[in-house]
Amino acid sequence: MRIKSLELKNFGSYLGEGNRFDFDTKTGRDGYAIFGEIGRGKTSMINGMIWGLYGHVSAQEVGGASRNRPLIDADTQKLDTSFKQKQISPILNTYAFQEEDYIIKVRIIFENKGKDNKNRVYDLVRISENTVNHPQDDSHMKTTAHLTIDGVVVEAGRIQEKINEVMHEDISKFFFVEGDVIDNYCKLLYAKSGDHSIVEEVEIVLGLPALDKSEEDFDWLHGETEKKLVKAAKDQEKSRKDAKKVEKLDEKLLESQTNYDTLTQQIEHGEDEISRIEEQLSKDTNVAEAQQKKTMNGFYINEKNVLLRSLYNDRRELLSTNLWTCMIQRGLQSAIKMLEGKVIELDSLIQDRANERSKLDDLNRAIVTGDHKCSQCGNTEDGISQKEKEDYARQIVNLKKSIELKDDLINSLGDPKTEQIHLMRFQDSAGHERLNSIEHKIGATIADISKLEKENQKIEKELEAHDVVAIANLMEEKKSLTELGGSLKSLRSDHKKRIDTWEEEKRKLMEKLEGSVDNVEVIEIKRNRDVYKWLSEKFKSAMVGFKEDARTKVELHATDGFLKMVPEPEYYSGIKVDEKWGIVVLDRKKRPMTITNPGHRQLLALSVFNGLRKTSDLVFPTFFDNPGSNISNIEKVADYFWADDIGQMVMLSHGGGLKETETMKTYGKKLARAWRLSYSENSDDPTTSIEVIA
Amino acid sequence: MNSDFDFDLNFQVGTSINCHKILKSLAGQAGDSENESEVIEENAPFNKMSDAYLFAFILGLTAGKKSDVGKRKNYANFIQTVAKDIDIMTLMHHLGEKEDLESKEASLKAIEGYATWGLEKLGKQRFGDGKIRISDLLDDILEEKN
Repeated sequence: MRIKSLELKNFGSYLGEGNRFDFDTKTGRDGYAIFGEIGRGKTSMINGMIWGLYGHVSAQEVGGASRNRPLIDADTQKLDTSFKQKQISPILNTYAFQEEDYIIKVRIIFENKGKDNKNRVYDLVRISENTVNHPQDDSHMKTTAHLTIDGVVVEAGRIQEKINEVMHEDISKFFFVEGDVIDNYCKLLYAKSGDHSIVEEVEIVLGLPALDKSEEDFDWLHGETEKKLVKAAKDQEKSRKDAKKVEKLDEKLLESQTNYDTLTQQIEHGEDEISRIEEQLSKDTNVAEAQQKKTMNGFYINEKNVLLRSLYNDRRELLSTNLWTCMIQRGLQSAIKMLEGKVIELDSLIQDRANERSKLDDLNRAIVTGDHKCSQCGNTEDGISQKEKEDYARQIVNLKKSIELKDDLINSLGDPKTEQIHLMRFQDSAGHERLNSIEHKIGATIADISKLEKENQKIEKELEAHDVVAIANLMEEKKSLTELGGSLKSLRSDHKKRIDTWEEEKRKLMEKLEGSVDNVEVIEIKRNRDVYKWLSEKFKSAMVGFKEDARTKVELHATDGFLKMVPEPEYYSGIKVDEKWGIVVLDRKKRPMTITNPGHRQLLALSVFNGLRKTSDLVFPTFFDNPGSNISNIEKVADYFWADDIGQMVMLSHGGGLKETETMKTYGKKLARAWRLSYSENSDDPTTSIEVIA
Repeated sequence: MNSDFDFDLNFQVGTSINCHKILKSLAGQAGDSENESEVIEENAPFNKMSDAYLFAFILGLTAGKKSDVGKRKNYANFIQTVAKDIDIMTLMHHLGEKEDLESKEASLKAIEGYATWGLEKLGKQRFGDGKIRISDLLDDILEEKN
């Protein structure tokens, strides 16, 4: 599918006629850009496309609920132009409403390659018109669609069928990607095995149901050829009886097959119900787990309490020793240092006193003996003068006084060395660290116990809220359904046996009939039947391989895109797709990892979407609204998608991520087309005007 | 006993009534029992009241802070029950104030003052619920002293 043009009249912010986008490409490439600030009509343009194709547009209310946008809503459109009071704004342009022009029109011209590989031009017009003069709501509006394919008019009743053949509404979300709500798309990433909807949608994109249908077609053709064969046999006398038997067997087979299919449906329905019950009962499993958790927590609490008691004991023992010494260490050091000074002072005094005593002895001797020893040559002279004797006597008196003073000082200093030794016995500071360690453990253990107790209190509350009766009822219901399922399976098995017996009987009769009818026409029928049978069987086996191949291709393309667009690709090795299309991102060591960065999640979703888009043989335009709302390096995304050449890629940006000036500078020449959406110059007339900028 | 002094510390020490309760709690004892071996609270930080008294006394001595005892409650003989063979006089001589050892009466007053201050400090901690952190208290005291 390639969009050729889109025209909008009175749709959203587009007032009146002439609002046209031509998607022709001057460059031969498929990258398109639409720039416009918030409220200028980008989303209106996408919604116009969706409304044109499917006849309705859904929108989310403030509360989150989704519903169709009304065409018209007179209550708000009469006076208010901002719709601020309304949760969902109507489709009809408000100025058009006020000018009493109630016609909404969207025209889409597009090309699509059919199954026959032939390109056809579709011209689709959808119009809503008022059925009364002053319409108030949608009940006063009538919507019609007109479609021509290669100029041939399609009857009204078949238009939607034809559109859905081109692009089914269910899968349109893969092609109209809103950046702001792309997280919804991320549900692909969390697709659980039970999420059939996403599996079906993905398989529609990949065209797998078409192959299933082909298989059914071949089965049907095979059956039809057999019927022709039987009809031919009935025309011959010799084989008429057997042919009638085959017809009767066919009737019985049809009846039994119908019963078999009905039973299968009933069994599947029962199994779905059992799954639903099991899901509810899984909460019961959670209860059992919670009880187990509570018991384990109780066990841990006991263990921690034992540890705590031991730690308290250790602390008491430690505090009963001389731990208090750690407190006095600082004072002790000062005292010891002070005593060191005293020791030095004492030693000095003792030494000085000894010297003085020695000198005193010399002087006394000199006076008594009269000898004098020459201080210069050491010779002893006989006799000293009276003057000298008097001088010696003065010196002796002074020395005695000095020695007495030193005696007092020495006595006052006491015995600092012994005191030092005494104080050194208190030097021990190791206990503080040990106490710190014990008390740290006490604190941590108390915190652990508190956490476990709180957890148990929470579990107890949960257990109180647990509805035992409801669980019992569910168990009973599951039991009944399982028993019923068993009976139904037994019945189905009986039918299967009958079917197998009758089919074998029929096969033998058919062999006999084939031998009895041998004209040219029958030979041709037989040959066709064999071909159809062969094709049917081949399709069955090929489907398995095809699905596997498709998944591998999606993985490869998604990995390629993700690694090219993500800012730090070295942290990842790829994307893995499981059988149910659940997505797992692998780190560089190929281990599954969780992605929490919203921008990276968007890139992942885009990559998977791109993997589907590239794997699918279907070619569709893609509208990516507001890329870069969370993606920081939107340029890489633009590089990747605009370099693509498997379909039109239209990026609509409000300038938050993809900026007009930079984009046009970088990609302007490569783009097929670019538009700028703005309000009309008259500020009182806030309707969209479209300007082609490339 | 330190031979530099002409008196000893052989006397009965006590503390304020309130701090006496704290003293008992620190050793995990309730009521009026003076039985030292009877530890009721397993998370109490001290084995005996004597350990707690000595610790509180050193706390006050280290911090250089005394509290007025006020209405006094007798606890035990200081040398026989609390200090035992620890040379408290030497410690007081080097770490305390000069007047602490001027006489036997002055030393009794100083010891009770230091111990009472220490007990008040310990009492401000949330002992009894296991959350008391003696090591934090030591950090604070050493910091203050610094």
